[in-house]
Amino acid sequence: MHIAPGQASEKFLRAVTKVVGSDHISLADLDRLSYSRDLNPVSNLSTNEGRFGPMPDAVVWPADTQQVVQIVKLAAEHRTPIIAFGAGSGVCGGTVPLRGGIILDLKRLNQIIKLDEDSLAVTAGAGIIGQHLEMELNRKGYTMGHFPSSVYSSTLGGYLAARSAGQLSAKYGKIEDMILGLEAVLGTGEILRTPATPRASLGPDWNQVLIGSEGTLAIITEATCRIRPYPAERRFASFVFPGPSEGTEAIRQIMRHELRPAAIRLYDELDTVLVGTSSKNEESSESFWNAIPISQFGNFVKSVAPGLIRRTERFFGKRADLINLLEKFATKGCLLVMTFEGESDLVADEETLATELCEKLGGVNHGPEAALRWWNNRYHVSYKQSKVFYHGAIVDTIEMATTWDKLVPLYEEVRKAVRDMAFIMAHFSHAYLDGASVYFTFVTAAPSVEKAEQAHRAVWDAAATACQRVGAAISHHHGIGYTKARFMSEEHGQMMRVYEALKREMDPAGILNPGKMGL
Amino acid sequence: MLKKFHKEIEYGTYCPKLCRFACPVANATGNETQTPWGRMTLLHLVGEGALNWNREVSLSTYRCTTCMLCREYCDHEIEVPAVMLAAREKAVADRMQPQESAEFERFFSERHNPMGDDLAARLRTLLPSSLFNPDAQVVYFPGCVMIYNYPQTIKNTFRVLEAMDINYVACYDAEVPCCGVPLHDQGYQEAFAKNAQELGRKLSKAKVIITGCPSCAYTLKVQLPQAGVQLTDRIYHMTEFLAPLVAEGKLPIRRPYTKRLIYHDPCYLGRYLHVFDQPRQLLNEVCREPIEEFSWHRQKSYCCGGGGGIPVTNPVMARDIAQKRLVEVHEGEKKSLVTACPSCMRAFEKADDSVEVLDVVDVLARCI
Repeated sequence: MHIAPGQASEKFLRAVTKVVGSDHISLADLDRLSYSRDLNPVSNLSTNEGRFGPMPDAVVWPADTQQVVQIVKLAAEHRTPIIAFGAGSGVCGGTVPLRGGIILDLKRLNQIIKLDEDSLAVTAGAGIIGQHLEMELNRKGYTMGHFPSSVYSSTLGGYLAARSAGQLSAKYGKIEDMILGLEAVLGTGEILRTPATPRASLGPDWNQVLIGSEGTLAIITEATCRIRPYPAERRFASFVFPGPSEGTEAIRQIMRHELRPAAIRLYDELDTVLVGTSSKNEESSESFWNAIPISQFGNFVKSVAPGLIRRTERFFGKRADLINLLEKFATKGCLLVMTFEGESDLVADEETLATELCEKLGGVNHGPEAALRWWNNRYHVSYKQSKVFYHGAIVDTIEMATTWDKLVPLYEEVRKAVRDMAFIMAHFSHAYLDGASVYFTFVTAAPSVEKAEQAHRAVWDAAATACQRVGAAISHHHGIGYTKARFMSEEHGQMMRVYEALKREMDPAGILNPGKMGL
Repeated sequence: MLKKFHKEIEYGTYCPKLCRFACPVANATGNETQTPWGRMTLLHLVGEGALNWNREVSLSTYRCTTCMLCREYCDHEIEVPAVMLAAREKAVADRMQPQESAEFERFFSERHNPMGDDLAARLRTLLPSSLFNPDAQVVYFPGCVMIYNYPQTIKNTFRVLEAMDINYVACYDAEVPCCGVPLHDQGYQEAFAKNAQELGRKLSKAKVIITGCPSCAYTLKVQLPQAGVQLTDRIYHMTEFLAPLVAEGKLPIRRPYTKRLIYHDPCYLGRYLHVFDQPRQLLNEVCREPIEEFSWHRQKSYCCGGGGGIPVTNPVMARDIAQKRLVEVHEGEKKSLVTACPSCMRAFEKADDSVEVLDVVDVLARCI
């Protein structure tokens, strides 16, 4: 296949080369191809059939903020799009270069600039990979507490740009809770530096304006974030509740009683069955299966579950409704896993109180094993997507958020809307005093890529309609990118005009990540 | 050549890149094409006919140190190096290998080693003739990198053995000085097989083979049989051979080693041959200070950049990888780096001449 040359002018590319040096810009077809996709399922589908999406004209690796400034000014002058890039782990096409231009890969901005042990703050370049930052903090006795399942393949700048949430968010908060100050380059080439301060009563909070803007308003180059002492102790607990209503009520009560488990996750019936299949440790997996009550039908599902995904291409397209019915017979409960970490005495008390609450609310105590197993396998679910795409099916996740009163209705409405089109399961996580997130995973298949894309779009449309009917948010932490951009006007209403006005002011040439976020 | 890796390539194409942070090449370059995900995607697209198999694609497969750290973070336990090596074999067959690689192979073929020197003569000058015995049953195989770069470590090896009254180990005469792994890494399987045949004849009488080079140990033990050359089953790295003997108290320690040391696990000794404890046991026997560990250590040790033929085809990348590894050596109190692999030693020394780099055997020799 022929890869068309980029559209950026030679003059512009020569000028950018002068800024970064010839070793730090690539016009090579293979690099352009690699940066044409992130981890969104539509990109994977195209790749499956050997098709390429829109490509950047060049990939550029600036060394510092000053180089970013110069490149942005050049891009504005030449009206060439710039897409800020971390490590490309996004699942909504946030870094797909829809209109060409240059990918600005920020991974050379990967230094830890300052560790302030008194203030518990770290300042680092936006391009540092999350796990590298965490490992360095751990060596000094600290933790960032931010563990998205992409932590091995994502960057600090990416977390901020996409308003990321980690698996231990109930204790440590989300990235917007961790930010103290940041440095960013506007579309004009001006540098915005917000002071690293615990709070400021100065009108608009520009940190919060930029967080989640996915590179459409500015390019984040550096950030100062809160950190915590590395936990002295970690404890695990698991319970089985009769259903999602009872389980979510337990989470609500735990949060209301000011307990802060690091992770608190409730799996619906079907996810409870499948969550046990991701362990490398078959022995512990087996003991997990034996630990929860499973009916005769459950045993049947248990036996097919490891192979369930492999059969999707043959089965799910037409029979998703039947597969979804299996949950009625699969289990008699929903698994709740919790982890507690921090100072030993506090952790012990939290675990005791949470246990009392769960038991009072009808939860059956299953000890630490299932939660420990979740902990040991907490990133493994991401690997499943290889298997699904390998077999020609498509998998995606939908993470919505709402208040407690609407949480179970949201879960039920979305499932009802989607269940005829895809195999769907869910877990509840990222709990707050006032609500939580529902994280749906759906798998579907179609005979061709075009039809799979249509099926994927149809599922999302149905889910989003149900979500908006309930009054929930369609994204809790994956962001918008371009795959969800069509929902933005409905979500924001007239405030999209304000966002557009901000965009015009902060990026007058319209060069920053065009075509994203519904702008 | 690549068809048998269909599943690996496909899984790698759709994976969530969870090995990305561990890949030394990906970290050194910051380039997504040069991640296992990126390289597998290119091979997938070639397989789909969407991309031509050309020199640019083949070059991407030479950007892997074969360190295998990626597998530690792969739930599917995919071995990326095996796929890259098969692709290199195809590149050679289709004459699409890097220029540096082709030149290297010509150089090697002319001189039967990658150093371009008469290594057998060097070895004869280095050691007394009494240590060479063509009929010996226990043979020390020094390997080309050790002979060329670290003759003192070879001398120290025999000093340590002598101090332990071990006089049954003879030195291999190095007429075929190289195990052939540099050819294997560059994709020259035919040349590797030929070298393996010659080596097999030279080592056919050995009942036990000991080497100070992990790549040699792995090649003699695993890759030669794959090329149809079966040597003795009893092939050991020097640290494996010495550790039980030193633990028995056979090494007369006259003075402890007093300087601070940090131990680097070579990829081929650790992840490939599963030897983690023995080097540490040996160091703990003679060192007064506790041995420091890198944050990436043992099964998850980080590469020195010296593997997979990277220094031949991508020397700047090799240097960058080594320098990343050395950051922790410069932190805190002054210390030396100790390892058990001449290729690692060379990679570190080339990257930063301010760091003292030692072999475990060098440390032992300083204590007798």
